[in-house]
This record gives sequence, C-alpha cells and structure tokens, in this order.
Amino acid sequence: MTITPAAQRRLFASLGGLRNELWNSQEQLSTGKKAQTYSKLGISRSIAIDARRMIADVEGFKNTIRDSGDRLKAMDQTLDRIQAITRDVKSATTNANLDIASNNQTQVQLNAKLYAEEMTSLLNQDFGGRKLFSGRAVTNAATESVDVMLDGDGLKAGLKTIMSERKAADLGTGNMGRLTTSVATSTLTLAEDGAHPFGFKLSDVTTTSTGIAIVQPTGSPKSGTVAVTSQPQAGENVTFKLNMPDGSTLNLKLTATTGTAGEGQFQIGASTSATASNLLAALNTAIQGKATTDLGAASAIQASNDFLANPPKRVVGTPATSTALVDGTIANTVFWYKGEDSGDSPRQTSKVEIDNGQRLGYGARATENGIKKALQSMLVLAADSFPTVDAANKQRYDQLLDRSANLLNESSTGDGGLSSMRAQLGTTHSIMNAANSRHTLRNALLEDQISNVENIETEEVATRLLSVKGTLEASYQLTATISRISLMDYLR
Amino acid sequence: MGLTTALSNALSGLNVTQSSLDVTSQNIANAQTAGYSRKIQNNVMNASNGQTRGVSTGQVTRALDDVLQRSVRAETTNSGFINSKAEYLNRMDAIFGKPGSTDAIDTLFNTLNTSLQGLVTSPESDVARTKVVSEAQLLAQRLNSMSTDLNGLRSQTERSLTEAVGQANNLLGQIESINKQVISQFALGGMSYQNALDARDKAIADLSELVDLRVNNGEQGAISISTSNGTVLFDGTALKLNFDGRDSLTAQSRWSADSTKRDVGTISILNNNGTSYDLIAGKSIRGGKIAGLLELRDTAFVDAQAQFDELAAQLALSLSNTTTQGTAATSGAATGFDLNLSPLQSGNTFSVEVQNGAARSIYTFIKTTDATSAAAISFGPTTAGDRTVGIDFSGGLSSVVSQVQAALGSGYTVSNPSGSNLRILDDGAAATTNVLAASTSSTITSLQSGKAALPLFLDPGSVSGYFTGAPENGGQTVGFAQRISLNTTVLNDPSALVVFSSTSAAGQGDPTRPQAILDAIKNSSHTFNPKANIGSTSTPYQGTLGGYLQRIISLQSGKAESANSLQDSQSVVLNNLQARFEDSTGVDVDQEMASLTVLQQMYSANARVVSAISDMFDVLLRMAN
Repeated sequence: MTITPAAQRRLFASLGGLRNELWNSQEQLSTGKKAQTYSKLGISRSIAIDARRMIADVEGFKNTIRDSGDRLKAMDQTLDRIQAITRDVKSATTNANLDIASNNQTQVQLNAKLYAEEMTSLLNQDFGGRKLFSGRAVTNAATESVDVMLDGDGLKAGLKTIMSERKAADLGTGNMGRLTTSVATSTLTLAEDGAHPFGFKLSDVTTTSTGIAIVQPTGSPKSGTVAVTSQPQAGENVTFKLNMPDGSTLNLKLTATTGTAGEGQFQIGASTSATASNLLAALNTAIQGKATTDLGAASAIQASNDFLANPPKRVVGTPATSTALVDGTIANTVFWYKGEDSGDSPRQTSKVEIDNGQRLGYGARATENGIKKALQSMLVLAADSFPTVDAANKQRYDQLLDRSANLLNESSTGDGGLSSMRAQLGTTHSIMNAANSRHTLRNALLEDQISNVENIETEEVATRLLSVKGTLEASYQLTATISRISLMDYLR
Repeated sequence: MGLTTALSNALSGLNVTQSSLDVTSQNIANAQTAGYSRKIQNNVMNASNGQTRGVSTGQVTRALDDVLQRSVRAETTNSGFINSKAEYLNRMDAIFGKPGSTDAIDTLFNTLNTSLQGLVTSPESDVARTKVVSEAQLLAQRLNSMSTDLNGLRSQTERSLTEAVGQANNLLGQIESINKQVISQFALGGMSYQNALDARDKAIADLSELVDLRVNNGEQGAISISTSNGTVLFDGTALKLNFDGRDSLTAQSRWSADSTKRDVGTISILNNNGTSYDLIAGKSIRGGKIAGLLELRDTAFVDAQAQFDELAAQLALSLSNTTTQGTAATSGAATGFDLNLSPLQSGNTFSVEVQNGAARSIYTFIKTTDATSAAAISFGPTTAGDRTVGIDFSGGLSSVVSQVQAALGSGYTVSNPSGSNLRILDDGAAATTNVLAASTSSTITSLQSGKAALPLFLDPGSVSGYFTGAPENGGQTVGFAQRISLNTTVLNDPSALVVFSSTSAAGQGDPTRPQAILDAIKNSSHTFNPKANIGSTSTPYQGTLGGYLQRIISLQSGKAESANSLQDSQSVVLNNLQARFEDSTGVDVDQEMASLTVLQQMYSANARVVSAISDMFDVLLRMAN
C-alpha cells in the first residue's frame, strides 16, 4: 500500500518519537543518570543543586573535623607524655642525696634537663606544618631549645645567668639576705636594706618572754625593734618570721639559754644589753645560715619565675646592691616562649567550625600553667649547681627538690593544669566526633536525595527500554509489511 | 440523432479521458512533491438546445481547505518561534555543565567552599592555600568561559538573523515572480495556473516559519502579505528587508532604536516612498523564527549575561569591600552619624538606616562621577522602604550634601562639617525621625591593608584593574563575568590569602582572613541587583552567592525545559494539522491508481463505441453499395 505524505508524516513522528525514547533510555542505562543537563532533570533540579551544596558543606565540616581531630589527638598524646614526665621527675625528687654526677650536678638534675628537652621537643613538634602549642602563631615553635633557655644565646642571658644574678641580689652583702641588724644598749633593730623585691622580707616577730618588748616591723623598707627590757627566762624564745622571694616563709626561732648558745639559741647575758648583743649575734648567724640555703633555693625558684615571665625580669645594676627588677629585652634576655600570647583564653586561639554556626576552640599555649610549671621545675633543677658537697649545699639541694616537686603539684581548682587541659580538649574532641557522626548521617541522606533526583532506577529504565524496543520493532515490521503491499501488484 | 452524433460523443469521451489521464498522471508524478495539492478535473456535459451532446473537459481545481491552510501557517509561525528558542536555550543549558560533574559551575563553587573551610582550619598550610587559589582561579575561568560561550551563542543569533532575513527576502522574491505567473494565467486557468498557486502557497508556508504573516487575497489571484500587525511585506512587489548584522557581539552590545547607540543589527524595510522603517522599533515582527532569535538576542541572553555578571560582581565585591561604621555625632538635641567619604571609589556605597515615625528604611547611596549614571542606578520606592540612590560626586561635597538631603527628605539634616566628612542628623527635639546607623563600604586595593578584605578577583578590563562596580558608561558590571580574573599577586604568592598585616601576632597561621573569605562566599547575605531579572526592584533577591547561583541555574535550565516541552507539544500540534491538511490536499496514489483503472475502462468503452459505430458505418455503406 503506498503511503501518503500525511501518513508518512504521522509515521515519522511516531517512529521518531519511539526512536528518541529508545536512545534516551539507552543513554540513561549506560550513564546511570536521568539527564545530562540541568533542564532535563526537571523541576527537582534545585533539590539536587541544594543538596550538592550542602554535601560540599558537610564534606568541608568533615575534613575540618578530621584535621582538627588529628591535632587534638596529637595534643592529648603530648600532654599525656608530659604528665608521665612530671610523675617521673617528681618521684626522682624524693631522692635527696647530693651525689654529684658531673658538672656539679646530681643525676636527678641531669635527668631533669633531658626531660625538659623531651618536653620542648614535644611542644615544638611539627604537626603537618603546624605547631600545636604556640597559640595563634602556629608556624612558630612554642619554645626556645633547653640549651638556649639555660645558657642563653650570645648577648641574650639564659636562666643560669638570671639565676646567679638573682641569687646575688637576694643574698646581698655579708650573706645577710638584704637585712641589716644592729643593737644599741638593750634594743635590737632589724631592717630591710632597702625598698626592693630582693632577699628576706620582714613579716613579724613574736616572743614568749615578758621581758622582751617588740615593735613590729613597719614602713618601707620595713624596720622593727626587739628590746630586752628585763632578762628572759631560759627556754623562752623570740621568733622572727621572714618571707622569701618565692612566697615561702621562714621562721627563725631563737631560744634563750643560760649555758653556751648552740644553734638556734642565745645566751642570757649579764645584763639586758649583753643579752641583746647575744640575741643579735644569734640572729645574724641564723640569717646567714638560711641565706645560703633556704633563701638560695627560694631565689632559684623566683629566678625561674622571673625568667618565665613575659617579658622576663632582670636585676638592675650590681646584683648585691640592686634595688629593682626591670623588664628584659629581646636583645639582652632569652624569651623562652616564641608563640603568640595576647592574654586571652588559649582555647580560642584555634577555632573550628564543626557545623553551621557551631564553633569550638581547641588551641593551646605552652604558657598554660600545667605546661609552664612542669617545664619550670625541670629548668630550675637543670640550671642550679652545687659546687661543693657540704651541709649548706645539701640543705639548699633539699630545699630546691622540695620546691621543684611543689611546682608539679596540680591544684584541684581549674588553674590550667595538665589534667584540666586534657579534660577540656577531650570534651572538645568528643563534641567533634558527635558532629562528625551527625555529618555522616546527613551526607548519606543528601546523597540519597540526589540519587533520587539524578539517578535512574535501573530496573525501571531497563523495562521501559525493552517495551520501547518491542514497540519499535513491531512498528518497523508493520511499516515494512504495509509498504510492500501495492495496489499495482493487483492491477493487471 | 445519428451515428455521427454518437461518434462525436464517443470522441468527446476519449478526449476527456485523455485529459483526465493527464491530471491523474500529474497527481501520481507529484505524489511526494512538497506543496503539491491534488488536482481534480471536473468534467461537464455538453449541452445545447436542451440536449446533451457528449462531455467536455471542465476546470482543473485544487483540493484545498482554506481554513486548515491558515491554521497550518499560524502554527508554522509558532513552531518557528519555539524551535529557534528551544534550540538556543538548550545550548545555553549545556553551558552550566553536566549536573554533578567536575566542570559544572555549582560543583566548582562548592569545591571552593570546601577548600576554604580547609584553609580556615589550616591557614599555615601551603597545600590548603594553593588549593584555594587554584580553585578560585578555576571558578573565575569557568565564569569567563560560560560568559564567552553565552556571548558566542548571542553572536550566533545575530548570524542566524542575517540568514533568516536573507531567506525571507529570497522567499518574498519567489512569491513576487510566482505571483506574476498566477495573475497572467488567471484567465487561462487549468493545470499550470493551479500549479503556480501551489508554488506560491509553498513559498508562503516557508515564509510563515520565519515571520508571522497575514495573507490577503486580491483580485485575479493576486495576494498581498503583511506581518500580523499590518506591516506590508509584499504587495505585488516584494519589499526588501534589510538587516545590518554585526560580525560579533560583546556583552555590552545592545539594540537601540537610535542607530548611533546601537551595536547590534536591526531589521528595517525600505518603503516605496524611500523612507526606512525599523521593524524592531515598530514591534512589527511578533512571531516566527526571526522573532524567536530577536527575543533570544535582546532579552534572554542579555538577562543570562546580566545574571552571570551580577554573580561575578558580588563575588568580587564581597571579598574586596570593607565596611566602616560611622562615628556618632550630635548637634544640640539632634543626633546622627559622621561618615568619612574619602575612601569611596566610584561604585562604592554608603548607607544610612533611618526611622521616620514607625517606618524604618535603609538608604544605599552609590558613588558615581556623572549625573546620567546616578539617575540610571537609582531604584526603589520614593516614599517609604529601602531605596538605592546614585550620587554624583563630580560637583564636590556640597553637591553630595544636597543630593543626599534631597533623597532623605526634610526630616533630616545633612551637612559637611569638615574635609570629606558627611554628617547626617535627625530632627532632634521634635523626635519624629531617627538616624539609627550609618556606614560606608569601600573597595580595598591592597593585599596588606590590615583588613580582612582583599582584592582577590580583579577586572583586567578596567583602568585601575580593580572591580568596584563603577556605574559609569553602562556600568563596570556589564560583561564582568567574561573578564573576572584572579589577582596574579595572590596566584604567585598564596600567602596573601592569610597574611593581611605585618603586625599580626598570628602571622602565617591567622585564620581571620580565610574565615572572612569563607563567610563572604558561603554565609553572608548579599543584595543582588534586580536589573539582572532575579528579584524585583521592590524586593531584590537577598541571599548567599551559592543561593544566587542556584537561582540562575534553576531559572535558565527551567527556561530550556519549558521551551523543550513547548516544542514537543507544538510539534504534535503542527504535525497533526499538517497531516490533516495533507490528508485533504495530498495525493493518495492508491486513489489515483483506482481512478486510472476507471479511466482505462472508460477509454476502452469509448473506443469500443467508436469501433461499433465504425462497424455500423461499414454495414450502412455495404447496404448502400
């Protein structure tokens, strides 16, 4: 049967339509996608675009959480190791034997330096181009090397220099710890040698004797008197309470005796003025004894406080007669901390956005109490030295160990100790992990959404492809058959 | 009645059969010829003196349904319009890239966001910085290529217009010559007259695909053709359409009725009286392929380009502009703010939030250097609500003061207390008005400005190299998507993404600037210029860059989608109409074959009659012998 133009048009239109559908289905099946352009995605294209944007966000958050989570892990490991070190150092301080190993230092001191070195290498560790304990200045190492901190660097003074200057300043002249004593008839005068932060500071004087009249030290510099108005009884005592530079206190208790005065005693003389002179001598001996031992240890600790302060503090002028501390400069003193410290909360120095609008701080500084005190205790031990083994040095060593161990004590209140740091960072980490699982879930949901919009149901398309193929084949067959029938064949 | 009569009857029968055969053979020969309509020969009885004497060949006519023909023409015009739009819009749709593929514009945008998040976490990392830089560059380049592609499409519409107008002229010429044949053969009628009509109809049908037509039938087979709004295209003689197409268009090229301001082609017609008439200005062409191409060239692609440009502009400005709050100022009981206008460049803004009674509104003033562009960029209600006002700075600060005063109205006092400071105060003791806030937004041009903002994206097409959205000469924004490029200083040294001040304690590890970039791109809400036709002047689109991008993609691919579905349904409509038309006018070979059989039989029957009469004459003559 011949096909008229009109029929041809209809045939082409319907065959063409079927063929296009076949091609479309084929393309969908081979790509797995419903469409190759946004327009063919239809009305739900904005869902796909939105979902993609959110997935990119979520991916950003997840990357962020992964990176900062790794950092938190590294920080926790560092803090954990520092805690272990402090435990080791602390237990070592219980061995108070002054057994010099080398360079006028004991094995405990030598170890302290090694530990300090380990600590600084942990603090300065490079974690993917980033230092974790330098506050905002993440590209700077947190601290100077232990050697520089101890020995200084060229013109810059280190802890050892600062310690010896401070020691001299605290000791003053005549080993009197910056105190002056004198007696006039039966009245003993005790005074600080100037208004300055060095040496012993007078707190108060007490007595059990009714024959001794005390005028408590006042003024600046402080000065007070002890007057022997009538002879004290043997066994009665006068106690001088002195403050030391590191904040510790010392009681010098002098007991009256009728016999020859031993340590911590004064002899009751023939007159009240003789007793006063004896008391003065006993007091001087006591002060001189403590000035080289207890005060020496306290001075070492305070020197390390001065050194670790920002800026560090230096003794002005000739130490023994110095009357002031001054801020060290970068030119003349080692600044131990090389990171950033603007005084705000260390956690806020690195922030991470773990979800829309949800930000967490996870930064840290080596200047935080826990780290700083641990380092300080080791540096003090490593910096001090004991040239001779005698009773005085033994006493000073003992005091130094005590004080170093004290620095390692963590108070239970949140003072930025190692435990509270770890607790804070740990909480941050667990919040991050929670956000991360939330993101994983959200990601899956969003992927699902996109897949619903963009991806084909393979079964559905395959079925459609088959049915279109069947229809198209049938149509071709029919068209061929019809076109073979011709009226001409029947007209003879 | 005699044998001769019968003979002449039979001969006339043979005659008629022959000419019918002629018609049938023509029909069969032209069965597949486009535009050919089936011819019918209407035979008539010969009658004289009340008696019939054989048969004679009658008029050959066309099988034609006028009404259907008109509908087909109208739908052809619609199809021409829709097809050209669908073709181009589909190609524009492809510009956005395959959904979810790595080169899709939204994917590039999203990747940049993700990398920025990484940079905020690790500002010190060279890897993170390089990643951001290279992705920002990819995004800029993608915007360039999208914009170039779009412009290429637009230039192509111009070339297609040249072609289509040439085609229309060609067809009008054909119509003119065929029309002459038609008129000359009108009196003769017959097969060749009918064929001439067919040829003319075919040319008109082809023309109707290009332009919307109205065909008026005149006398003696003559016709005249005009566009549907009455502009005459053919009236015995063809009027020549003229299209002064340009070789290539730029993003700035616009049509204008004024030929000196126009940098795209226009279609004009030379009237018989020698005057030229602009068909585009006269809105004469409203349908067909030409109208479709014009709409694409002058509206659809201009809008799309404006949207790309606006996206690029906001991307650049959101990073490079820094906001400075005004300082509080008082005068007696009147309170308000001082704004330092010296850092403002052309295109930069200062805004004032005011309260008059209970109504709050934000005035955004844009700096320009000429009055024309100041007027062009102002929009928004003049009574209440948010307004954008262009301020011409060319007249110095005193002129600025009076312009701002005029915009704000009498409830406020604007003055210039010193230098380049602008002071805006409320009405003081009357307490009807209130100046709530004031700020300036200026473009930072230094990478080490101490501010988080940085000129990350530049405009190599501008004199300074910076993009400020300057409104002069049509506006810097026009075509910016094609020019936007990454600051090469940042490209060579990505540390500028982080380091913004030599005195920052955090230095290389400072997340301030990365965070500001991320906020600007991902989180901050921007107000997009409604001139790009997303949002309106009363409620401009406010949202993030990502949101705007999504709107562009949705809008443009939505246009392509609806053009496609319109094309589909239109092709069904047209196909059905054409099929119906061809059913009634076309040749059915089977039918012709059947009539051929009848003609054969008629011929042999008539011949038989002749032969019988011949025998009878023989008998008669033998009898006579």
